[in-house]
Amino acid sequence: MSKRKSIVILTVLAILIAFMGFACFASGPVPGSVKDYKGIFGVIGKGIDLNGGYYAVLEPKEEIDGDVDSILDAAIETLRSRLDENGYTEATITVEDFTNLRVEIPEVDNADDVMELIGDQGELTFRAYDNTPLVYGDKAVANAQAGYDTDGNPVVYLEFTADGQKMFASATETVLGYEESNRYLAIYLGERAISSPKVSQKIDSRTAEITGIETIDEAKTIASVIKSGSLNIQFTIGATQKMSATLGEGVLNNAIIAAGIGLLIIFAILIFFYGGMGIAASIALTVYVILYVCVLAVFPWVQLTFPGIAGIVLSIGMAVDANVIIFDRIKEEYANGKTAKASVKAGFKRALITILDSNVTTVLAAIVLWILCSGSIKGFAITLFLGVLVSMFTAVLITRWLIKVVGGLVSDEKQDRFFRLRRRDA
Amino acid sequence: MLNLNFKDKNLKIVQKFWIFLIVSVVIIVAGLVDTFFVRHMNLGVEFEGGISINVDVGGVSDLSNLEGEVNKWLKGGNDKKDVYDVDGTVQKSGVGLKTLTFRISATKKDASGKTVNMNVLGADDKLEIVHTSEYIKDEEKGLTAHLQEVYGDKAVIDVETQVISESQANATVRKAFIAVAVAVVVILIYIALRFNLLAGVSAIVALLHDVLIMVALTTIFQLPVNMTFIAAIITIVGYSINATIVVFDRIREINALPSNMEKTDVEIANEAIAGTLSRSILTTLTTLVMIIILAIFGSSAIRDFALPIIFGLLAGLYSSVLLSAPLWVKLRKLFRQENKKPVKKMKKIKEDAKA
Repeated sequence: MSKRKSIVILTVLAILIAFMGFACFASGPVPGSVKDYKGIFGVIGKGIDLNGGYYAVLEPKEEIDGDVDSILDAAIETLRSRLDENGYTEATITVEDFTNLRVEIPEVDNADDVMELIGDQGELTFRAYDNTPLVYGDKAVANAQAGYDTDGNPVVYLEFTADGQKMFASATETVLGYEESNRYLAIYLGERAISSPKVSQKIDSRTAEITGIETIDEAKTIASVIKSGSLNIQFTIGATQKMSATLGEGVLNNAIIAAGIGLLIIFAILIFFYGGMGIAASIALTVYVILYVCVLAVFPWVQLTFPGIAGIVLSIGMAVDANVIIFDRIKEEYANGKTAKASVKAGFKRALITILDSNVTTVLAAIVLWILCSGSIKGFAITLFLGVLVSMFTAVLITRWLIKVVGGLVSDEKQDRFFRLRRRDA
Repeated sequence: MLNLNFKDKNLKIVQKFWIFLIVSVVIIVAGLVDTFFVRHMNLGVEFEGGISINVDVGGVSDLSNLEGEVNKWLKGGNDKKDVYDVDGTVQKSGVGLKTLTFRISATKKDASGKTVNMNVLGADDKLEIVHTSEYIKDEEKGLTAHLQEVYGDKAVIDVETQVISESQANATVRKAFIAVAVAVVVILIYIALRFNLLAGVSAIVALLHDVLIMVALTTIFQLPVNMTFIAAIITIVGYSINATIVVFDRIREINALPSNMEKTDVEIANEAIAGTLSRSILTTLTTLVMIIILAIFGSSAIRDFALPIIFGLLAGLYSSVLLSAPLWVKLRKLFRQENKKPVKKMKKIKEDAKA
């Protein structure tokens, strides 16, 4: 590569890096606009330990009897709708350890209200048109199931308890005493109306159907609400924590400063030991950091957590490692008598196997953690996984190209000195 | 210039294996005795269950005074109803982030001064979700009010409570063990496939060595153990296996060269160690730089996390250079495989087939 070409490429690269670096890490008000610019780094999904928020693990009070999955689904459905209704639309509810529910809500201040919301057992009631409760569902309904009637229309089948049968008999009798337009039983969960099926006759049996439902999905929702309300799985709090956003913000800012300083020192070490190759590696590492930030921002399931920061640091360490393995290999090839160019070629080729083998194990460990863990450790696993992949890419492809570019700055005869390459002492 | 070239030196590391092993074993045994019989690990609420209270310091500059006030309140000052055992050290955070963390064990003294197991969470009927929530709210309000009385409004920005039940704490420990165990098995299988079973076993022993050293030193220095410690251990599992594999990769390469047919295991291992030593040192050095700076700039939580990683990095360097390859040599001798050269055999078969 000619010297001129190298200089042009490096200048373009420097401008690109400066631009991308700014795009990634800058943030603040945009001149002449009321909007704030949020750097790419700011877009990365952040776990509640960094962004502030609230989480709780709910454990069933008693062992769940029956189909655990559908019972938990019903419970999630109930919690979900309660949270949505109260504006916590960003809340996530996941099943953990088979029977526990993990509720995470980003950026809440009033954690106590949330706890009361999810802790509230939300009584199921069947009410008359004037809102008088006629039947309390917790004891009345034994089962609710969505299905189709003989005409193929979606229905919800209700199964009453013995008490429920009596209550429904008297309730339907009451309702039938009203005016035609008021002859319905409104189903409420807490203060939320779920459905208002019409009553056309007195129900005095163990089963009944709710008809007039538009879709099977709607039927399923109604059934699950009635069931979860009536099933009433009681939860206790397994773990709960409210985290303040200010603490997380400080952690993140400090980590960015630390990573920056750390990288500068690493650049110095690499250039000290590997000369021109160290310069190439330093540029490649900068590219790596920018790429990495972009990759983290692109994937929606990335959750930057507190241990996740460690995952980032570790993968920067791995990226350096890949470069060191390659350079050591190049030095060795040169020491054994190859020319500088041939050494670079052979070094990369041989080092590739080493880098693959050593990185695959880390990727495997990250995948195991990703699958088996939750919360902040999962966030760690994801950042590590992506970081190692990106680091292999930059070390193998970008460093290689950059060595050619940087090597072009000096004449071929001077390359060995520039790359700190030495023949084996005779 | 600093010379990191060890390739042509005969360091005789394999021959000194037992000395290196004894050094490690002494540290591990001392640490484990401390862990299980003497001082135990400084476990956080995530592992033991209980309550931890974070007090954001706000404008208060005299931290030890504040610490005393909170302690006094928790232990039943100011006619407080519930009296807690405050145990463990109070953690302080670093530059710019002023938070005190108080750990409260799962026991408290009731009004008559009797110690009762709080078990806030879980078995006790009275304290279900809503109750727990009200309970925490009351305690936070009480403490905030008390501190505001003492320091005025500037003092306390926030009191935060973390509650972990015993069953959750157990689940955390169990999950951590399973995760590490599965990761280790997967890595073992991979190395056994890519290298050979004895290399895999040696690598795993080196890995366990690193984890045990981390546990030992964390107990000896009484560092707090919480979820980030698990992350630290896993970080090291991922990292130190790298260094070990680089050594075994070199052994595989040396083994494959026909000119090395006559070399013994000891010679090959020593050559591989010497050939990869500069890389091992440089890589550990750069990662150490990163972690140490993170520790300097980070909050106390980051520091608690950084120290175990530093232990692990050093243990990893030690085991990958001084223990893993020598152990492989000893294992091959033990299983009478020292004369087996699988790669060359394959080559020879191919050559014979050609001829």
